[in-house]
Amino acid sequence: MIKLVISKDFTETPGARFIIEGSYSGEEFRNDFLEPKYLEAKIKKEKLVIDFDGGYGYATSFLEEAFGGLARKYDEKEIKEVLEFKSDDEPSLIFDIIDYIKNARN
Amino acid sequence: MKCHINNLILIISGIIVLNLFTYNLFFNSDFLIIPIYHLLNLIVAILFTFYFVQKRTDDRKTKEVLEDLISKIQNEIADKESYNFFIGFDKKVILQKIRRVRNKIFLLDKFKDKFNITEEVEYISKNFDEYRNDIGEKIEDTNYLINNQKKYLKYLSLIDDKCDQLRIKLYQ
Repeated sequence: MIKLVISKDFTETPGARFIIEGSYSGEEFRNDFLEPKYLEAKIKKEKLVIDFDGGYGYATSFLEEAFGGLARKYDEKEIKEVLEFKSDDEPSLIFDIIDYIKNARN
Repeated sequence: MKCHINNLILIISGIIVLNLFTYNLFFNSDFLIIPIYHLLNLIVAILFTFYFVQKRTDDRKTKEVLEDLISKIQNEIADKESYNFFIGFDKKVILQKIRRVRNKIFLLDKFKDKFNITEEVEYISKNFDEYRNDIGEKIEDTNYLINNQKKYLKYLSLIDDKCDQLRIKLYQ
């Protein structure tokens, strides 16, 4: 199992959608952390657990760009098989992310 | 005076019941003999009464917790920091506020079917999601947030009104 704790590995204060909008964007997170870890987990046939706890909260644009963006590039079914989510601070986030992945190509 | 009268009635009633019990105990040989059928009836009646009273008490307590949640939502959204943006505002504040409100709405959502408050909770949830998505899309664009304060205030006012209706409906 590979673990990615956003507040420790990336930032406690995620930003908006695109890199051009400012630091710690969803695009930056996807490019530099999520996508490489996802591919690593896929090759190793392991789960990638993403931990959302410990930060100050997430803008919807950040989440959609990171996870919706991943689903626009890779197969939705495979993403759902590889990724696991942990969010005790805001449990409803998990439902949002599943929706972003599902509706990424709509 | 009224308290004394009540106590007197209680004492007199107690004495009457005690006398009847003592009399029957000594002069009525069948007094302590009860058919099993009557005994079962009595036990079932007591158990049912206990269950329904307990359930009503539990529901009442849950409603009180939900009412408290609704008040907390209203307090959070009434706070100026929910809609009053300015150059140099700290995005941590609004992100944490959004998370607090969202978690409370999420809890309300779990009880919407049980207390028949689906319509109200979904209305609150929908308006809060629109507010949250709009701010979430423009979290790094302070000028946009400043120029749209009235729109945010509109969402929050609608939620506040619905919270009032929800509180009344909980006890109908």
